[in-house]
Amino acid sequence: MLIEAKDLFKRYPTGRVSVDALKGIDFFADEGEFVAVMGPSGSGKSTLLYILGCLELPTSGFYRFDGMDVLTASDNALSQIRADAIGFIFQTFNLVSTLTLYENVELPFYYSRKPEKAKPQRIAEAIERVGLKDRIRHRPSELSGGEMQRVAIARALAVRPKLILADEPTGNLDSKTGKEILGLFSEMHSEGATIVMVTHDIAVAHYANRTVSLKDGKIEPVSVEV
Amino acid sequence: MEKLSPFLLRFNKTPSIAFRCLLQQKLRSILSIVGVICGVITVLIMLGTGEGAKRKILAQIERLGTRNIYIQSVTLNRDQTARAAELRSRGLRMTDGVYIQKSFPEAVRTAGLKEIKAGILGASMEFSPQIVASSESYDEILNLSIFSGRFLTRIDIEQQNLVCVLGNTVAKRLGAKGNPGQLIRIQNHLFRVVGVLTGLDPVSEEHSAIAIRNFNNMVFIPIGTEQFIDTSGIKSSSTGADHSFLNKNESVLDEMVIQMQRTDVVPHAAHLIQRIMDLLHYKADDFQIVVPLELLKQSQQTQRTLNILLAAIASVSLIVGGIGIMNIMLATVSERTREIGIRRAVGATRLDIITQFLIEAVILTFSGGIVGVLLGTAVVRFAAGVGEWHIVITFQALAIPLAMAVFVGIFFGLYPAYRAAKMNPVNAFRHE
Ligand SMILES: Nc1ncnc2c1ncn2[C@@H]1O[C@H](COP(=O)(O)OP(=O)(O)OP(=O)(O)O)[C@@H](O)[C@H]1O
Ligand SMILES: [Mg+2]
Repeated sequence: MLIEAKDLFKRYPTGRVSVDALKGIDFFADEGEFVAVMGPSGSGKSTLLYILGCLELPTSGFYRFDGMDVLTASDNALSQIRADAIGFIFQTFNLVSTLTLYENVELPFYYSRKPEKAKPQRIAEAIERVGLKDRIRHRPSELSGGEMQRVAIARALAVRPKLILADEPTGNLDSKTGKEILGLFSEMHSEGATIVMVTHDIAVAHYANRTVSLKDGKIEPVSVEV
Repeated sequence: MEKLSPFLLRFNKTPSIAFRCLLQQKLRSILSIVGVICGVITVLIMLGTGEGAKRKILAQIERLGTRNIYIQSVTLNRDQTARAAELRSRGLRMTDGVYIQKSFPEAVRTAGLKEIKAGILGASMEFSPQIVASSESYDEILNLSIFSGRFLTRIDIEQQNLVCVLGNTVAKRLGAKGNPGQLIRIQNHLFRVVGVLTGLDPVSEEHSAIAIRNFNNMVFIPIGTEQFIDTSGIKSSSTGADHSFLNKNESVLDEMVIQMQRTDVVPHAAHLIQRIMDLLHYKADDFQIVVPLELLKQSQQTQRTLNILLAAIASVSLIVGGIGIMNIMLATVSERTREIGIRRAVGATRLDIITQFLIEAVILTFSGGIVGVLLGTAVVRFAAGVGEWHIVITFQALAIPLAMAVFVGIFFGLYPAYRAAKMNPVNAFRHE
């Protein structure tokens, strides 16, 4: 099993009142699964994704990723996992504004410990896949929201990670482009990648094997099997 | 090795990331290194000035000769003269030198000098060479080289020949009459020119303890022959005048130079000579001993202190430059919080972030250092051309400020880099 998370709690201390973003969540995913995460705004979807992506540690609970106990792992080990095994597509794209499109896609390779012989091909291939081949010298500020989203996807694809975490990857796209992007995810899924995707769109959820619903930091008892 | 190699592998990529980040902020980068440039220029000029002063003093002292010990006769007041007479001191004489050489075999040469108040006939008002009576080996002891002819010889002194050796400037001023073989009139006697000295770089300033003689402006006559010319203003009237009966023909000297075989015996020799002279002069205190080697050591000591002071002052300006760098780096870090978060999210370790920002700081200060060294050298060249400013730029004067600049970069870049690295990635890229 790739993802084993049990009883995850996440508390954000915000001034005097602290916010409990996650209140005891169990989450499992096998290798090769495509899981959709749904739920209203503020229900803790992004928080869950950050924890699964080893970007943040839960306040309490247990999380094992690919056999490694995340809560006791060193900061360096977590960085290495993020570089080599996880591709993250953020809700807000998170591109480096001073770097070009190509350099943004190249960024994870700077920090990856994997052998990088195929690096130029992989970058080119990922950019080609999201259809931005002729924009590689552009900076994020010169791209539309959908294009930035696609750059973020290309960056997550290029290193061929075990796990792809996507936070509303189609939220900023028109339905046609959205479909293309979802097609891309299906493709990656069929190539063996494990995908956890946050979405508001029930239609998008149909691409997934399984849907998990969050509400108020907890999993809703009924999860929809497709 | 397995742990290190990926780091090294990434390490060689980090400078290019850092470099590009700096290029994207050209104006800011340039402004931030101005402080470092100024600091480096200051350090360079300070070091250069210190070195220049040191060399100047060194050149002066070396002209006096580090193997030499000077015994100078002291001008006494009336009471002291009376006391010296009571003590039967005869003033400084060549025989003193003979005693010293006998009792201290390391003393290889002795020369005496006596200043004569006399003028060359026909010399104009503004041209008044200094006439000195000297013994034969004075040129060897003071390393004077002969331009043409010869120096005074033992025979000149034994036979009291009326000959003279001219300093370079004197010879030039006399024109055709300043060549060997010509006769010049000193006071009421004719002296034949037998040699001319090679010109020496003028040493303008006087050292605190001993006057550097301007050999270019001197005329040497054999010691003893000064008795033939008018001696109305001779110093001997003040020292041991009553004892001329002791050795009527021997001159009372103004200065005696004793040369040692090696430099390392000089301190010991100075002690011994003091003792011998005290004995010979019955503790009359009508002489003083000056040791150039000691002056050299003293001046090196004060120079070292001065250098440390100069360096400390200069360092302050570099530190100010460093604080400027720190300020800019802190601004950069908070401005690039999002970028740091994103880099961390795609796998950068804390060390990667620290190295990136440190390298940026070092690139800044190093390029500031290079520019500072170039500008500083140009400033020094310009100043040397315009004024009498004596600055010597050594390798150290270039390397030290550069190394200090890089150190400042590391030191003041460390805190901003650390701040960048310890940020939580999620909070960082959420930052606006
Ligand atoms: N860094 C933080 N500090 C304080 N509170 C936070 C922080 N991050 C998230 N929260 C809170 O935790 C809760 C869950 O946030 P999260 O971003 O996970 O929601 P979400 O399900 O992704 O919502 P959306 O669909 O709008 O993106 C929210 O109430 C939010 O205010
Ligand atoms: Mg969210």
